[in-house]
Amino acid sequence: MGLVDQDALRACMKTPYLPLVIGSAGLLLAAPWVVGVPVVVGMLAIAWAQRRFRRVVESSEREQREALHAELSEHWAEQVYRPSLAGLASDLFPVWQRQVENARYQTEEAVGGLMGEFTEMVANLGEATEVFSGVVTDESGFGRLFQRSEQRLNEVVRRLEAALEEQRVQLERIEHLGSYIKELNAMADEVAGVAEQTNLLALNASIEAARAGEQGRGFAVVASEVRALSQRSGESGRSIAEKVEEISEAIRKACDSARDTGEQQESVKYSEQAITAVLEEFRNVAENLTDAGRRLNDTNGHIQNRISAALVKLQFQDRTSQILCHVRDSIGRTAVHLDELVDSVDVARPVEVARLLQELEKDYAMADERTAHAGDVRKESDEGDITFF
Amino acid sequence: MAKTVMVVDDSVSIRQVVSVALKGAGYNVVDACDGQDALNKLGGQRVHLIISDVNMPVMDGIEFLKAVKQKPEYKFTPVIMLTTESAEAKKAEGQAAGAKAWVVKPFRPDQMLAAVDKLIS
Repeated sequence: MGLVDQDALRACMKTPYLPLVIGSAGLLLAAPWVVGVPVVVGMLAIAWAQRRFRRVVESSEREQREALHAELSEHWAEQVYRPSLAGLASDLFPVWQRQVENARYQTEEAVGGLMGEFTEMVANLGEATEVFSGVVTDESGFGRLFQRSEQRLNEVVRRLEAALEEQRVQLERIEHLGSYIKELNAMADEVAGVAEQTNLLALNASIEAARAGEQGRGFAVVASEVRALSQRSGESGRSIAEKVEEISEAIRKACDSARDTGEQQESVKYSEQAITAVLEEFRNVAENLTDAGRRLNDTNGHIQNRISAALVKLQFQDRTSQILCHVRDSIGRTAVHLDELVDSVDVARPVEVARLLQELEKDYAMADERTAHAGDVRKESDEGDITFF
Repeated sequence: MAKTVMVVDDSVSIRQVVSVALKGAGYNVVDACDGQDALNKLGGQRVHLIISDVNMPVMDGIEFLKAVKQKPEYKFTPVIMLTTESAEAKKAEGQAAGAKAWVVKPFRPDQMLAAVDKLIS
């Protein structure tokens, strides 16, 4: 490429008017009018020649620079640009992809575990509450046990009271029987008196029959029989009196025994009070348990609502996972495209940024992704929007 | 007898949330991680409702929905699409494929249960 002596040219360029000064001086010293015109023409010719020469030099320099630039460009493209693109595609972008995937995976694992724990907690809490509610309110639970016990114990008290009342009625009846004893004794005395009188009459009849002699023999037999009958009546009367006395004694003992039910009534009353007190204590415990169960239920509902809200919030992981997947895939496509550029024979082929952006946008599923792509950051999502078709 | 709901989503956490909510409400749950997995697991078994994500690997939700609706035994099985996708065009695509409802994530479990109860009853 060294067509001209560069140093000489540069020296010449630094003093462009030196020949013109020398020529002008000679012209003044010689015959100005004789040689003036040729000299002027000569000077103009020299100036033209200098300018022409300078243009040639400048053109030559430009060509050299362009040639050098082309040589350097080709060298840069082959030795620097293509390897750096290849490095982006083969080294940097895969690292980005792996890091994005790593972040996505870790978030998914952590949030998945967290949601699992939360859902397990909700289930356990629900079971515990259900068990407690069962203990309090189920058919076999404490509340129902209390109700059944109260019913049975009240029935026991009622029956005891009924038995006592029955005893009282029986006592009254027995005491009323005592009033018949006197009448029976009087009847027995009367029977004894009639027997005695009859015996006397029979004795008198026997005496009168003996006086009558042979004719009164038959009458004596009758009198004897009547006497025997009166003796038997007397014995029956005494026997009745004895039995009445025995019955009277039995009634007295029965009444004495029945009167002891007063103590039993006291016992029943005490039992009733004791049962009522115990039931009252049970009722308090049952009410406390029911109240505790209600509060546990309320708390359970509250916690379940809170956890449910937390589970909604934790679904951000699914959204961020999708965003990261889209970015990861876009990085992958960019790496493939850079590989294509590296392999391309066209050095000047540009990176197709618009196409890569379009492909990324096509992947979007969420409105906030599209908003962010457009340059804004969306704060709200379309949370829980339900459309029925 | 408890009714069966199939849950199709590539996100483990979403499957967990939906499954727990459904089981808590007394439903049986069969889950799958994508459309193809769901088709394999269906296998003719009685399913009363399907909840499916849209954007999934292997086979996406819309493709799965179309495949399900071609099967006579699931032709009338209601399908809820549960997705982060809220674009109207995508919803219209789901409706055309035979979806009965479109729920945008994140969702509240009680909302989802209400939708399930409504469609199953």
